[in-house]
Amino acid sequence: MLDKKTLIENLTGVNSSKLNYYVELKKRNAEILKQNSRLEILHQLSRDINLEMSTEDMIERAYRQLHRALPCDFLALAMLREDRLNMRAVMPCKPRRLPNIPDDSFVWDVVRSGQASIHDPVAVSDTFFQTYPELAGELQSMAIAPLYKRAAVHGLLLVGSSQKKAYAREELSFLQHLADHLTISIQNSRLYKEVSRAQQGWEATFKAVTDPILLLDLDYNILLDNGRQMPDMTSEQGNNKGLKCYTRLYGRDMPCEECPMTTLKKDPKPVFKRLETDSGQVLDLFYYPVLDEDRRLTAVTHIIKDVTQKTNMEAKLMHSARLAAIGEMAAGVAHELNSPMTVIIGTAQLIHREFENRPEVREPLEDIVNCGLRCKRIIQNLLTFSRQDHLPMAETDLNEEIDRVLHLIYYQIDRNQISIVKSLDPNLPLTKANGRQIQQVLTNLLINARDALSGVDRDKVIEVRSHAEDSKEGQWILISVKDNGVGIPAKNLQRVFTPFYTSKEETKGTGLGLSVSLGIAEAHGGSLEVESTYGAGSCFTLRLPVRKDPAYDLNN
Amino acid sequence: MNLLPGGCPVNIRKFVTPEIIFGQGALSQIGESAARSGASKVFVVTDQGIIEAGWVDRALYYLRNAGLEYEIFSSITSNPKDLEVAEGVAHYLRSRCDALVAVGGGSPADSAKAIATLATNGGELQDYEGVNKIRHPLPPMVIVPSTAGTGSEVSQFAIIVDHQRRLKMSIISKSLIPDIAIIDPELLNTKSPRLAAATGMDALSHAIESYVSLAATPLTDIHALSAIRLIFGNLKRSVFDRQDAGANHNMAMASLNAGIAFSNAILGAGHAMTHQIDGLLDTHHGETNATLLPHVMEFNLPVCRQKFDQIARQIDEISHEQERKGDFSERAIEAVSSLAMEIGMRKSLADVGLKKESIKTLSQNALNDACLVTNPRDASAEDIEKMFLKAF
Repeated sequence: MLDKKTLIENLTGVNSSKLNYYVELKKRNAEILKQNSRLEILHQLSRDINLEMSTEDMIERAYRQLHRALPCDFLALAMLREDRLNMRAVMPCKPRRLPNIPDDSFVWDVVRSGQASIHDPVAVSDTFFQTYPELAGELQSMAIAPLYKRAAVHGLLLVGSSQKKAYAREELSFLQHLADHLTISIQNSRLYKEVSRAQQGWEATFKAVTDPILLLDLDYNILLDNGRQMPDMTSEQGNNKGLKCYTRLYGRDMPCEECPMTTLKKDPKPVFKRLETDSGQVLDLFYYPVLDEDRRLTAVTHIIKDVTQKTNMEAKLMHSARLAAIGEMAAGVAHELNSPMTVIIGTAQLIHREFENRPEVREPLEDIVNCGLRCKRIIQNLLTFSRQDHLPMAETDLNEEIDRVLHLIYYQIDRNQISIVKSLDPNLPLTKANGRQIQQVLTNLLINARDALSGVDRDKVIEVRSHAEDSKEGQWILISVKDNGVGIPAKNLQRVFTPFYTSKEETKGTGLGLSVSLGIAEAHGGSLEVESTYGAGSCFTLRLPVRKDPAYDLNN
Repeated sequence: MNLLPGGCPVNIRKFVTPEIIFGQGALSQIGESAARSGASKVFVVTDQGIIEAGWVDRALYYLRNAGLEYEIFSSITSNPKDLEVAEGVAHYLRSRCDALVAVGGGSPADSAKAIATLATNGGELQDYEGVNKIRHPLPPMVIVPSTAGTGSEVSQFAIIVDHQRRLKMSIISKSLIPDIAIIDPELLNTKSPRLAAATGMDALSHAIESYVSLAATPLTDIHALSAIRLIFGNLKRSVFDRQDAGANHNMAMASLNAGIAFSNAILGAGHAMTHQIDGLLDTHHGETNATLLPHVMEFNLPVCRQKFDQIARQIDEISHEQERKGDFSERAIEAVSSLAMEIGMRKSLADVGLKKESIKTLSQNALNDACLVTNPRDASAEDIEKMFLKAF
């Protein structure tokens, strides 16, 4: 019982006053300021800690900042893995080994209770300090906060001070905040790594594709592209440095007419289109819809595939097949003609022998025999031309092949009053070639030259030339067929080798000749070149390397 | 110098009052007063009787005029219970008020104080029972008394019944002194004669007990004596004519004076005992006081003859001749008894409804009441029991 005087003092309140809001306010203010500075530190930490940091670095950063908010001579992070507390980082002493925290240590109490707690003074005899003897002398008080992941403790944040009574309830709640914060940072960084790994995988896939891939939004903006060279979709020199697909690809200021985007917006199904560019490239355009969860169109994946080579090949195959059929027919006809011709020639020769002394009969008979023989040669050429099996490459005299072709089509050209000037190099080296195919090329070039001359008023001349040339890569044989016909407009010059491109009327040309010829030239390791002046004539040159070694087999 | 352990000389005393607004029609100041104390939404604590008398409507009118929002809480009975206070706190917090106004007798005033305490300090009322237990400042409080007696509008006391223990808890703290007391004698017009008599006797017991209190100082004495003089001069008129403006005015002033006196000088055995009976029986505090006061005075007489003598001199004109004869202390006791009788407040504890068996327990409990500390004569449980029995 207090003595009476004290009781009266208390009652009359000499030692007390009406509580003042100003004092209260100051107290609260001080608390708020302290809280603010702690929040600031948390904030600073969250700025310092970036996603690519390791957990160790995070703890190191936290340690450097933390002393401003609470006594901190030691900071450590332990993670719970399969009922073991792995020490992950210890600041500032950074022991070389980080043994697990023994499960009879007081540190474990926090894991079990799930509550942040203060240990003051720390029990130096605890197994924790036996495991980490370097801390035993240093720490007087510790505070430990649990790291929560989905309502379960998955780690601990430990802070220690060399002072006694360093931590109170407030510090503890700050520590818990920090622990929560670190949990988020650690999780974020883990998620970030996972996501970026996944993204890198996709990006590599995306970049590895050699065809251009674009991701377009519904407003024609290019969101992503895999950095591949876009083909020239148009010869028009527009501004193709835009974000819009129609600007970048087609140099336009507005969406293309019949843009597949319109179709996709109505019905989000993949769209395929084939486009032949002005420069003769054949492009397959694919438009794949990108849908959201509600199956609404959000973007379009656009893939551009250059299929020029593929279509050329296809065309060649078709042409070859057609030629093979014609060849077969021609072979049949030639074979059928061969027997009657033999009979005609034999019979004429017999009669000729009988009427040797009658010149009026003998001369016409000689004509019959000569023309018959010529027919036989033509038939022979036809048979050679149309031989089914691919002749393997053999040492070939190209001049001989030229002669053979000229023979074969002599009449077709002669009939049009065209003079053929032949200038063959008599010292032309032999080379490995397939004579049949060379004939095919030359026939083609000659027929084209003839056609180019139709409707020209001047003296029509086709010049066939052969010569050899030495270059760095070795010796080359050049066979050129030059006409003084209509020539080819410059803009069409690149297209002449495109399958099915033709300047002739439907009935006359298939548009395959030059493309097949180019294929043959390339198959021989050579090339087919064109020079032309519109209105003055063209010159096609077959350029073949001189090869003595066994050439490569076309059948392969 | 005689030093207490706290390092404070014995003769140092403290005197605290709130801002006091007194006068006919002072109720009109309620809006501005609340607004000045920083209120934006006021929690009005009152009771049904005051609402019916129309005073709350008047008060609300002035609150509205001052641009304040308000919330009314009137579920309060005489001798307010801790449960009612708990309900009030919940209501206060829920309605997001930031100040309290009490209009009424001691019950609304003490309830408002208790609600204010819990609103900023939290916990249970029992946590604050005793002296200086309040830790955080209370929201602004304005109290307008409607009776002339309790003195709660100026005091550091709040008396609330603990319904489980069935006793009155005294919460004593400087923080319970309201910020502003508005005393408008007009409000006394509407109370019943019986209530006027009871509250008048309450005020008288405040004045007499604080005057003889061990903690009395010259500052409190002035107020105590002034109250005694005014009560003896006006109580009867005030009881018999409710419309007597002069009597009401003086009784209001008397009650204020008594309140100021007892808030600073504390009370004595009388209040320590009445608190026990009120807690048990829910009787009117004033009536119990009137019944016990003469007996307590009698018990105290041996140690404060001089003070009782002074009291007697406030009551009667005492001639110089009589004065020379000296001691009029017993006259004071007689005067108190006869005043009580004249206004119908002289009863026995049996009339009030007390059972004889309870007296032992009550006497024991009274020892724990803070008011007993300042009683001029040390009282044991037996002493208290004897006084109870005399009044029985």
